[in-house]
Amino acid sequence: MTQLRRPPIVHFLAAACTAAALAVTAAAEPPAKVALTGGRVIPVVGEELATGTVLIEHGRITAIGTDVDIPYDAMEVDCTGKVLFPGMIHPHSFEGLDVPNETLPVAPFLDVYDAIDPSRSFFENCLRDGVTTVHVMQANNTVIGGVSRLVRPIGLAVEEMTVAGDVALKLSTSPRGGYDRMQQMAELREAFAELDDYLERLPEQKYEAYLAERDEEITVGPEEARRRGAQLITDADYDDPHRNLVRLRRGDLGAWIHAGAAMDVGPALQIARDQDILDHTVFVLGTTSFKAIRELQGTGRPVVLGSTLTYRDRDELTGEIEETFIPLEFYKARIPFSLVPGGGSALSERYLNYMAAVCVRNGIPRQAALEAITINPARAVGMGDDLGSLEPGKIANVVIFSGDPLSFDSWVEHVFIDGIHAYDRTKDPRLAELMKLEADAEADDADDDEGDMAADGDASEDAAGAGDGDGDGADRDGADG
Amino acid sequence: MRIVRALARTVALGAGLAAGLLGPVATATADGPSFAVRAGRIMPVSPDHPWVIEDGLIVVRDGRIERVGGADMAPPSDLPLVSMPDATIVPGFVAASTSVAGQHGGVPSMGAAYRAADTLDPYDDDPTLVAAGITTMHLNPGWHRMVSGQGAIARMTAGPDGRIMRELADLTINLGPGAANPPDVVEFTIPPSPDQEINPARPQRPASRMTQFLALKHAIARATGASGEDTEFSVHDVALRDAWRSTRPLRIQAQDAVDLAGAVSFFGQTDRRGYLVGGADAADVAPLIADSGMPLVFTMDVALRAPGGDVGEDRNARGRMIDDLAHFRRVEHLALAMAPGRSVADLRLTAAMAQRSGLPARRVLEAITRVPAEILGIDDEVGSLAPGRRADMLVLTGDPLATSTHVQRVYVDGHVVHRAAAGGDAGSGAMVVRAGTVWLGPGEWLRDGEVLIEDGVIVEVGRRVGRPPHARVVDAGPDAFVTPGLIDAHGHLGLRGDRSGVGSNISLARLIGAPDRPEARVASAGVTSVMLAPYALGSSGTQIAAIKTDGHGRADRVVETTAAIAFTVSGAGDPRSTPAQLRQRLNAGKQYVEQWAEYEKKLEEWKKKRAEGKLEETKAEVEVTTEETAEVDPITGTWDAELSGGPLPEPQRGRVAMKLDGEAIEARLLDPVPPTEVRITGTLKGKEISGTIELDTGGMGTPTFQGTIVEEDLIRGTAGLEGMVEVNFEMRRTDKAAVEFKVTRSRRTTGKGGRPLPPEVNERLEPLRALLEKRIPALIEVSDRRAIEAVLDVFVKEFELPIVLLGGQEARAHADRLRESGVGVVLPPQVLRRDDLTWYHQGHDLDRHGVSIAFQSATGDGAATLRDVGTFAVARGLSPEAALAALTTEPARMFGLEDRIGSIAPGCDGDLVIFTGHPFEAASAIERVIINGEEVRP
Repeated sequence: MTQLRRPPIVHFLAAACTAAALAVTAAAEPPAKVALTGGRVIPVVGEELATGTVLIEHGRITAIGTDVDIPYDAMEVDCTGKVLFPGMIHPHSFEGLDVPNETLPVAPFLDVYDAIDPSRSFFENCLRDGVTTVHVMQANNTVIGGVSRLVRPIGLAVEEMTVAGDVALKLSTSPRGGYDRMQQMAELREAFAELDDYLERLPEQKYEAYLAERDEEITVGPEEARRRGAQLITDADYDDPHRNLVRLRRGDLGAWIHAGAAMDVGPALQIARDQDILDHTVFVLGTTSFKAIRELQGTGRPVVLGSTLTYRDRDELTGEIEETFIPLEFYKARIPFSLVPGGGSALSERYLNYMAAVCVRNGIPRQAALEAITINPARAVGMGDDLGSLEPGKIANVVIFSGDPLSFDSWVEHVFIDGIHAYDRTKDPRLAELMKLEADAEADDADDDEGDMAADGDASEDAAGAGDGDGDGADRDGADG
Repeated sequence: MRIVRALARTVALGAGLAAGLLGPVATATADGPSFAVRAGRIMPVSPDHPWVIEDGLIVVRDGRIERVGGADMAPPSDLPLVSMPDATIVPGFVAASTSVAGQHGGVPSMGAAYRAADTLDPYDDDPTLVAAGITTMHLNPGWHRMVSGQGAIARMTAGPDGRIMRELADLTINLGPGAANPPDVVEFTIPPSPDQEINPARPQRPASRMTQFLALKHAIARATGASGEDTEFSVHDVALRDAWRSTRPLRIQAQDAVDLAGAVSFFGQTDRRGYLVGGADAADVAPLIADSGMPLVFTMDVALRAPGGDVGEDRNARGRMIDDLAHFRRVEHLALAMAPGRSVADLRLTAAMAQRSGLPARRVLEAITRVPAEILGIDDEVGSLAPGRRADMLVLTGDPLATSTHVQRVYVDGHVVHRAAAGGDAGSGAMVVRAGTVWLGPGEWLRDGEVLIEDGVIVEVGRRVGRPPHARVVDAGPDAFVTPGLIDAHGHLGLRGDRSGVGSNISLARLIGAPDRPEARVASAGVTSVMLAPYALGSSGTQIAAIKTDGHGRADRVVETTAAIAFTVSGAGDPRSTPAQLRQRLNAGKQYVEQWAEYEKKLEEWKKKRAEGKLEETKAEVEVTTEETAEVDPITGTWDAELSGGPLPEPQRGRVAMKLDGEAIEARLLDPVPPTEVRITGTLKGKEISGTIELDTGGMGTPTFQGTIVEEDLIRGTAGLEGMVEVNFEMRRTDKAAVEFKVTRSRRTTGKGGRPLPPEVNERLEPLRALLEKRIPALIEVSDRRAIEAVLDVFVKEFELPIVLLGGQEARAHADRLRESGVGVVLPPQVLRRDDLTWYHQGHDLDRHGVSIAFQSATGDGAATLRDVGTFAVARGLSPEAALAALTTEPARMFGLEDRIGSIAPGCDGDLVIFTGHPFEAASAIERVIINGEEVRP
């Protein structure tokens, strides 16, 4: 068992049993210094240590090694028998938002900031699953979507959660719902052509406005007026529909281009090249996109895979089925890829470490699989220097597993985010409730049938009581009617 | 000022856009392969070449056609040559109109920015279209808006590269009611603010046919800046202006005559190049189109896959009548394409139907190859087989416009992008063989007949047979003579001269693998099956296997593992005593068979009972038998031994088990149990025993023992190392029952629920079982007339078994009996016999007496000359029909294989030999040999 030698700073856990409680834990001041000692350290970048110490000072990792001097005032956490792993990164999630997409097809002026709901159980689950950073981004049902944000799953307000704002814009070359590819591409091209037109007109307007302010008459030709106007333009002069597209071109915002099928990869590359944004583009791929791997390989840009890892292709004439394990293709092509957990309840898609294990099972070396859930997504969001591995200088996001992260029976026991002890499995009220049920069920199995049924009845009532009472009632009415 | 600005803006934008737009077009295509094709017929559809080149040659280098020529042109020595003597090669079809792109969901009536190319998935190779021979197709952005966008041209390349040939191929304009009344445009102001008004829904033009040209001209004027309006930025205006100023053709699509007439006059008013796309409804204005010289893509609205609807009063129903095409014969540039909603895969067949309107075949083929390429402006790349063009070729099974012709192979850029399912020259697909004469069996000929073979089996025989899409067609010509594959009724092919004998439990079929050179030699000589026998036949029965001379492996090549059981009655010994041995052998087999028959009968009864639910609850019966392997003898048993004397301080006791076998004694120590096996062997001579004890003595030698049976069950003697150690022993037998050698067997006599148990399988008698059950014949090597008589007595009269005589040199003497009992004779290799002083041909002689005959090679690859054995027989008077039967149907019948080999009939194996004339005419050569539906490569 992990033992906290000093009394933990956080005492609230037992009191409440909701996500809010978990969030509150984060709000506490982090201890200045924490030393995680005695555990096996898998830093992802750098050598693995059979037994090592990770020293955290003021939210950053300051030392890792077998022989680390532990400051006298550090809170020492004994991790003997445990495994220390970098906090995992969810590279692409809309689940922090109330709805995945905006109905407007071209909406670069939006920001997910306005829609992140810190109380969503999604964030609580992230914590429980060892995900310490989430890239919240509009989903793929769009032409040009809003600005994304990198958050940590703790905090009561978006500001508190934010790791980095203004990360990237979402673009898509795959048709959004109700669109066909001709429409999708025409609108995508139109957005940038219209931007060119706007930028063409802006200097002149700016110069005219500048003169108007001074009640001066225009005395120069259009070309000179444009030249003078161009010098006067500041960021504030760009209007809302265009500002973020300008920042996208400048590289202030990353471009995450969704290419949901192989045939959408070519147009995505074309857009990236035409707009000269390829060097800060990340490709968000669908299941069949791997067929265009050769084109992607040439760019050297990272990709984010879909949560379906295996593709089965049926030959139209012969009926033969060919199976492809998608991440393996990207590994072979030496394209850095990040895994995205699926939204559904399928076990194989729900946990990042489970997905990495599936990768290993399908022939990808362990190191590459581990990178796909840590350092690769960190680099994709432009935070490769701060996140994604256990290295001195990096943000102290550490997950303490009960065993190897790729082992199916390993639990996330503790999570440190920015050095804050953000999660403790022994004080996870929901999990405790769940485990209690399980323990009850096990105990009941030994009992006679009568007792079993009674216990089950109690349990389900408890569960119903925890839920929304009104909704429950309505459901029952509906079922009766 | 404003105009200047607008102009400057548009020009700058245009340049930028054009650069962006043209970017993706420059996809480099990989170099294609280089090779030469020699084909039966080449139809280049090029004005520089003859219409048909018989025995033509096409040289392809780096995926492009280098040369096209006739039989006189030699293939280049540096390239591989593909030979397709049965094939007709035409250019890949160009579909000038398709609905593959679908139509876009955009609202603008003048949506020039929509690109059909965006819909093309380069990773989907559209196998059904390729299989139909479409190698180039036009993609059309839609039929639903006045300017529906810009079309594209795609090719069915081998990979994703180069799939889009022209990303922006044309500006697509639709006229008529389909494009009229587009939906209103609703634009949201984003973000809404007090400065920006909210726009009401804006109606679009054209609302009717009356305004369509007005709307079009206005849109063009506005886009090109000619109207003088200062408009909001519109990506569609930019695209329309760009397209209008380019050299890309205008594609005007219309279904109604009046709109096509309008289009003709519209073209008259502008200097723009373009073409019309329309269907049969435009027949009324056909002369107008013809006079204008405008190219026309005629869209054929023919329902092939299901009958079209009711004709009714609808004027448009006329569109289903392809016959209206007659009106368009005068149109110089006429391409044929499928109407929207019709499958592009039907292009070839539908175009062929256009001949009904009087359009010559030549123009029809041009209308789906070269002319559409010209109209689309890609004729320097595709559409004909001429030097410099891309090697887009179709390998057809026959005339390109014949109904039953199929696309067998498709080349794009010289790459094979489609191969008819497992067919063609490799693989066991389907094959149609056509010849002037097809010999089905004795007296059964088919003049100008066809044979269809599918998956190695003949499925249809007749004057005309079906032509599955993937079938290869071999037209051997009117002089050709097709026979079933020849059968060697007794040969040793594949034994490579190995003359060792073979046990009766082994079939030579085990030796069969992939064919080697000797097999190939025999196969290409027309012998497709061999009754494979070892050189020497035993008298206890040898299995004869029926094998094919060609195939991919054992599964292909073995017809029957055990087709007959052979016995020999020739050779040394009294010819009259051998039948007695045969009888003994057959009786052993008979007993075995009866055992099985009894079991099967019991099993049937049991099953019946079980089905009726009358089974009684019985436990499995177990019969326990105790067998002693040896009779009581003076030695065998357990002996108590006592050793004394010599170096032993006190007597040692032990127990030994001994066994006597003849004079040999074998013993082992029971007690004390030695650490390692001690082998004691010896001999019994009278009452004296002596022997050795194999024991590790550390190099001091092997201990020996000598003793005497003093009285019953008592032996005394000495044992020790010679001259070193010696001890006395005395042994008393305590058990004569030879416990070590007593075997107690328990055998279940019935199974679960009283189910009878099968008798044991005897591998040596098993082949005989098939014979005794009359499933296979006995092949009996016999020459002497008395032996023949004895064989007939035993096998035919007594056991009533099917037999075939092998050799039967003196069979003449029993010809009548042979005929009556239906016993065939496999003639000896040496067919000429002498009776008294006259020579006669044994085959001819037996045939005259009505005895069934077959020829054998009795050699390995010597079987290659088997056909000439028949030729010789015919020269000596045998009828050609009988000789052919003796090589095909007769041996098949003798060995009970007539449902597999020896004749050309549905269900039989696809083994055919194509001769240039009658097989026994000296001048006839073997043209092709087909085994299991696959041509044998010489």
